[in-house]
Amino acid sequence: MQEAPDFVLFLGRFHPLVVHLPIGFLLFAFLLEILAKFQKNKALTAAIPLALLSGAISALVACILGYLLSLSGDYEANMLDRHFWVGIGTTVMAFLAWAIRMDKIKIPALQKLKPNMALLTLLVILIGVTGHYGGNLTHGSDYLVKYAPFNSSTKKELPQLASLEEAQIYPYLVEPILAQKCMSCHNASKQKGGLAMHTPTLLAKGGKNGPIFSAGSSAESELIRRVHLPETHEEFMPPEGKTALTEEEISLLTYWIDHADADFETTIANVETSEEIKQIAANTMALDFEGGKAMATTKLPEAATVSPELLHELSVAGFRIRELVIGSSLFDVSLPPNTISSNETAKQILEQLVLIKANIIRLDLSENNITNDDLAIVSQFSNLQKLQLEKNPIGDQGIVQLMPLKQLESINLYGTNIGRASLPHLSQLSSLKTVYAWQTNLKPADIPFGDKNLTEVKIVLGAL
Amino acid sequence: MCNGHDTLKSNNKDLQEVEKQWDRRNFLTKTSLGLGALAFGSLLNSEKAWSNLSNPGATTTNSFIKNHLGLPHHLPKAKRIIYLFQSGGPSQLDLWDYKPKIKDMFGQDLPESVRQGQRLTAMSALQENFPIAPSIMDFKQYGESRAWVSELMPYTSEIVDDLCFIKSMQTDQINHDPAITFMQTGNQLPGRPSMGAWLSYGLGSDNENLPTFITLITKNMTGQPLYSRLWGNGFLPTEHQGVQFRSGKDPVLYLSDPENYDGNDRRKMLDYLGKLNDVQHDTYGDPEIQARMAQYEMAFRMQTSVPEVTDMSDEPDYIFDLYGEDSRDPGTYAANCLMARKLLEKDVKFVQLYHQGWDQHIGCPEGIRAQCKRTDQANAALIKDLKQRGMLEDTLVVWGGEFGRTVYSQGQLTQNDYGRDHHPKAFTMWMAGAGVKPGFTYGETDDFSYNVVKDPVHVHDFHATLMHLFGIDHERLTFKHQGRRFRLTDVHGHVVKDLLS
Repeated sequence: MQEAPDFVLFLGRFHPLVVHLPIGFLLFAFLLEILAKFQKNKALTAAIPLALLSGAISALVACILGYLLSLSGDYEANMLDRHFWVGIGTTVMAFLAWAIRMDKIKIPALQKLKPNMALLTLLVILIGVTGHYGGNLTHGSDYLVKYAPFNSSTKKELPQLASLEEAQIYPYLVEPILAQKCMSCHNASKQKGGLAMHTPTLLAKGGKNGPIFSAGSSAESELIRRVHLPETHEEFMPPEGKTALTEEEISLLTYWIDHADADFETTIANVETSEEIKQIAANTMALDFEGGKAMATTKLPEAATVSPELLHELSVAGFRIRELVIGSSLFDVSLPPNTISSNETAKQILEQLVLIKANIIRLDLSENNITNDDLAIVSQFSNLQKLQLEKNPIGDQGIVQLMPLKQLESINLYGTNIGRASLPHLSQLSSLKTVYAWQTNLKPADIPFGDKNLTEVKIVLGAL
Repeated sequence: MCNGHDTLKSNNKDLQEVEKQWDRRNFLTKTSLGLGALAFGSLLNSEKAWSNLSNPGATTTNSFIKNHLGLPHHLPKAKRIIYLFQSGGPSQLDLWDYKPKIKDMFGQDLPESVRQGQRLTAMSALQENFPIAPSIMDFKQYGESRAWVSELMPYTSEIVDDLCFIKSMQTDQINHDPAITFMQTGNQLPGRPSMGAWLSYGLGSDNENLPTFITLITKNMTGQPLYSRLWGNGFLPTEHQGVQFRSGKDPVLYLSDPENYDGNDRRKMLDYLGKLNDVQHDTYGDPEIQARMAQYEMAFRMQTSVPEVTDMSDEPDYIFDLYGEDSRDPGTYAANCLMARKLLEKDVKFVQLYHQGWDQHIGCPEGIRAQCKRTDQANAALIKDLKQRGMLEDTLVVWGGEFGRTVYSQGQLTQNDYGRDHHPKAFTMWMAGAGVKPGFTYGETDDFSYNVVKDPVHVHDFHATLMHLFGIDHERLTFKHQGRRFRLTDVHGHVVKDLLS
């Protein structure tokens, strides 16, 4: 299909905007007509023709713009036809209603039937129908009633599988991605770029530029190329404003094209599947995946968003705050050494962090006159994974305070006063992997401690 | 007076004097086009008009700056990196890549099936034959990981369980300058930003009182030259270039106050200068003006921070003993390792050491022995020291050169002497610390350490992996320059996931 000139499409895209004008005008005319029936108000009645004319003219403009938009070829022809003709009908009716209202046309046969009221009622119905067809074109035909209470049949349920290997790759792994990220624009009614994805046949057929994947070669597949482009690129898919595919989703699509030859029936068991893909697939399907090494993805806790103002305040107080992953609201917080000069102020400074207590994943308070008592504040940071307390006057009593930190994986206590008495407490921390205890009262002879919980924990005593 | 003056009017009396020197013609020519174009640009796309501008406020103290590049993309394992660059191309055959099978092939010509017509350097291409020179070094396995290490690295052999060896490194370049430029910037030609500059640009500073990227070079070494472009910023904003610290009285040149100037009004002078530069920047919109301002401020802060961090007097004797006797002599490799640790402790993000002299074309055994004596103990000490301080888990340590060396002897081969030429097709590097598998060896070469037979790791892959450890998707950290987007890995590079812990 010949692509319409850009300027035509530019104008065409004003259709959804302009189309609301006739709706407003004509409904308002209808409202005035009703009011005029009950209330003989000349001013109201006089406004009716104006409302009708404005409605008719704006409907005409909307029709023209709509036609321009339809030239993009992004829409399914049948649905488009209906919207097109009902839209034109509505416009014609609007002009007719205006003409009759102005007594420019007189149809004697209709005189008894209150033509003004009748035509306006018809117009309202037509507007509703046109609008509905238009909405279906943009959002898909199941958009309106998808979540209606009486609608329960449309959701396709895939049978729950016992093992990963028997899963068919397309329906279990690929289609859900396409449905979630692509099909809002590539479906039965809306076919951007002439591409529809809701059936395997149409998906395989591709869009107006031909097939979107080449079985066995993701490198030559338009689908894969488009999702890999920089987000600002004009051809990047999904387009601006829609959620991009995640790395895992892209790797599933690539895997389907490369290893399963983009077949719609093949199961995971039938093709070569890397451990990594198995892991992603298992996560997607909420199946347990036995064997194979787990991916190096550390689970991140969910945390509430923190306002930039609060972060700014904490920075002014002396904390250095870094967001660990952009948009995660999870932070690496550190206090530069000797920010706390006397232990009287320590509590006061630390307490400010309580405002973001669930957001702190890594915390560095080294060399800051932190004492045993201050650690009660730190113990509230329930998502803490790494804690640096080195070179602070902390002893075994302080470690007792840290017991609530169930996510803690690494604790740095070098240059503190902890000793053997800390070990039973440290062994209670279920996630703990590493303890740094160089230059403390802990001696090599204290380890192994004999507590079997501690055999999993590496205690680094240093070279000297 | 003309109307144009209103736009540039400052409330500072002295600046107003300067402004009076602007006449109408000057104003119109200088501003109409520039400001007009800028205004038009921002109309079209308000955010993109400044898209390549670094965040000049990022170095301001005490304020939270959200990363404007959308980084990190994923959870970073590494917070800092120290890159121990062994310039010249250390011989993998005499250090790490143990090849017992060629012991019996002493002096035999290298089979053509191994070399496969590969182009050699002009230094050995004209040789009549390519006699195989097995390493005369004694190799043993160490640690729980049973890693092979030669007798030249006794200290390193103690820490192999913390190291992750890559024996299958590959580069595209066979001569020093393109190879080292490729290793540091991802391209063989000068002009691209170095790794450290990319990290500084992407992730910003963790300590606004010190540069994000610092370079230390072993003093009194000869060998292949090192150029400041190896730690340069390329087309990235200037404040991201590496700052070289020197040994001796002035670690950073021109930082100390001149004689007979007490520096008391420095702050006032800089504030004044800042205002002038602001006016200039408002007029021209040149980001280099902001970069310059940021650097003046950095230099001012470094007047205090640098003497503090380079002061070794608070280091106890047992630390000097750990790094070796050399570490008491500023500017040696060992002293630089110790200095690097201090810089890393202050949250400098990227410290790069350069040690020249690994280019053993002749007299390889003797030359490499001397090189190891200068570096081995300090390498091991650095790992141990970082580990006991709890820093190894978020500090990435990298050891390696720009390429490896040939199995055949360049020049005459005798029972205990040989030379080795450059070899780009296979060499060994090691990493340690943040996010890489400890006690692990990856990749294999053939019996001649000539071709990679398993799991090749190209320089681009190494860069991609390094960025990954810092939470960066190497394909998504780009900078638009001269009409196209550039990245460290250009259009290549795969993260080597097998190396990640």
